Amino acid sequence: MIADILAQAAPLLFATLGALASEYAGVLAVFMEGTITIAAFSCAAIAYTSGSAALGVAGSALVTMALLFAVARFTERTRANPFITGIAVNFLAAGLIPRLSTLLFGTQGVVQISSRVSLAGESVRNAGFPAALSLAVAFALFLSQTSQGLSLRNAGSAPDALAARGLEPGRYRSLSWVIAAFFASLAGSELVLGLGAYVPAISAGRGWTALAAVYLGYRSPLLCVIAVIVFASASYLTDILQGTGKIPATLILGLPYALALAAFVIARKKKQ
Amino acid sequence: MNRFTRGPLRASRLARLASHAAVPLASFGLALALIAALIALSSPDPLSSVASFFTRPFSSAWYLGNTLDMAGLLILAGTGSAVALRAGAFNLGGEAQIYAPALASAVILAGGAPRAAAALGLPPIATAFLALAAAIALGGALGFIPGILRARLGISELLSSFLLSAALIPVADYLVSGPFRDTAGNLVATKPIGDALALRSILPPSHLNVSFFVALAVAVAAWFFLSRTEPGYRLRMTGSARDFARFAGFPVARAAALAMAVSGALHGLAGYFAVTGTWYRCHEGFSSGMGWSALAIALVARRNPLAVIPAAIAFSWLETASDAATLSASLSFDATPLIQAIIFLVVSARYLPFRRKS
Repeated sequence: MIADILAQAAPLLFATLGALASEYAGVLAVFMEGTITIAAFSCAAIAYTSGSAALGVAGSALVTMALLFAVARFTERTRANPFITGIAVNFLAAGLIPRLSTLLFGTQGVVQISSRVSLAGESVRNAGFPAALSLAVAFALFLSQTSQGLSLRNAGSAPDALAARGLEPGRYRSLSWVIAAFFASLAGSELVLGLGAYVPAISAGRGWTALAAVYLGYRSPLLCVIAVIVFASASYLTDILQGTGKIPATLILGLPYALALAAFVIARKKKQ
Repeated sequence: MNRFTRGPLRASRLARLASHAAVPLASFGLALALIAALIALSSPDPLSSVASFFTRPFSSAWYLGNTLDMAGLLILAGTGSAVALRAGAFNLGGEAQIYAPALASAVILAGGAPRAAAALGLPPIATAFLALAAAIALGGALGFIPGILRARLGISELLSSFLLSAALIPVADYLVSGPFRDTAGNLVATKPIGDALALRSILPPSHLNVSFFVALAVAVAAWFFLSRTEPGYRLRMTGSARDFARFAGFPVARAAALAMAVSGALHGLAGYFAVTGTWYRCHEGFSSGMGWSALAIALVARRNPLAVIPAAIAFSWLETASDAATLSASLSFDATPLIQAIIFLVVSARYLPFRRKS
């Protein structure tokens, strides 16, 4: 049971670390859901064509980081509203992936990669959480112990302080998008390699649950780990309930969103 | 106040108008080019596919009428998005605010209500009013909840409206495919509403009906309210000059919550008309991106309800065109999310400097 819950938690923890990075820079990571989907699809496509899971992970990270870097630069250059450009990323995912999937695989549905990629399935699912946890610790150290980390944290809350030190806050905001993209690519790759397949809507609300976990974890990487485990346990329970057939499967699709909304309300109420 | 906001010279106003129109035109142009390129790339006969992309929407009463009918629904929802934006609130819950009211009106109109009304000796229009009121109230409530969450708890309405909507859509899907499903047909949909309650087409065989003109009237009324009345001015101030509005004693938080409720109600109205005038029932996944399109339209229109009208018609044309072209090339590909992505990207570029200044 614990192994199952931790396997559920791994991609969500990656996503949450990404959302946290962009939260520090004052950008609500509304692009997370679409970015995870793009990352998952690129991992599947690259791993399938190259036959290597490692290339899939690396390629997915490159594609995702390049894309969000471009969007971040666009947002900074044109002083665009990052909410809207972030949502545009989600639509880009929804519009392009079915098209690319048809071109590459001849289907808009499930893309099996387990026949071509040896490293997939159980072992990836089990390795995910330890990897995510060590990244969370590393990220916490980066934020608290390095001057780069301090600058990143100030990019959102005190951009003037950065500017006074001769640093460009916009630079750090763009950096935060790229870090978020890196973590999103890990979340997407973990999902694809864990399943041994790419399935449409693979992110299943994780990008939004991650935003809630950031708030529930009081924007601290280590508290976020606890919030993520709470969410993962909840989704594990609903999986069991769904298995009993007492709750219709369609209703469960809405659960991550309802949970996230409840988390926001609870986190805010406590603050007051 | 208008003395100060209006440009003193006619020429400068024209120049301003041109600069306002540049970004929307550019975003539509870009979307158009990209969709056409995608169609050309993936069609076995690119020339005829691209040609039908441009001509098909005007080729028959069916396409023309349906384009305008869809534009009417988008004008209603887009006006709703614009009203919320004016008050400084982003309504990202448009999908459920269309879907849930549509489901409610379909259930009322196709269920026992018309028979009950007939038994009581009430005319069918009484049932229509009941469904209309239910749709508006439900949409309004779905907009008001995120609005009040922001006013009371400071939760971003952007996030809560989206999450509320995303949580409710599966519930609506479940109701349509389960308890309220019409078991007589193969569609995953509710029972059709009776002919007496359906809005008659004014351009057969298309679905164009009176709702298009209602939408025009609503957009004009919203424009008048926002730009020519005292409460409308206050509402705009809460959006564009929050501190000033607070200093002047306007109830800033309440105004935004109210604008969100109005926004939801207009989405609900769009849902009601989509059922009574376009589909005559509520099917699974009913809103299918309309809420997002409405937001894109409101942004292109720079939050101005009058500009929502041409923006919605252009958007609807773009959708019909790409649908027709992909259909003729037998491609299964939904261009709407791409159109939305391009519009959000391009429009936002101009949008924020304009907000930051204020």
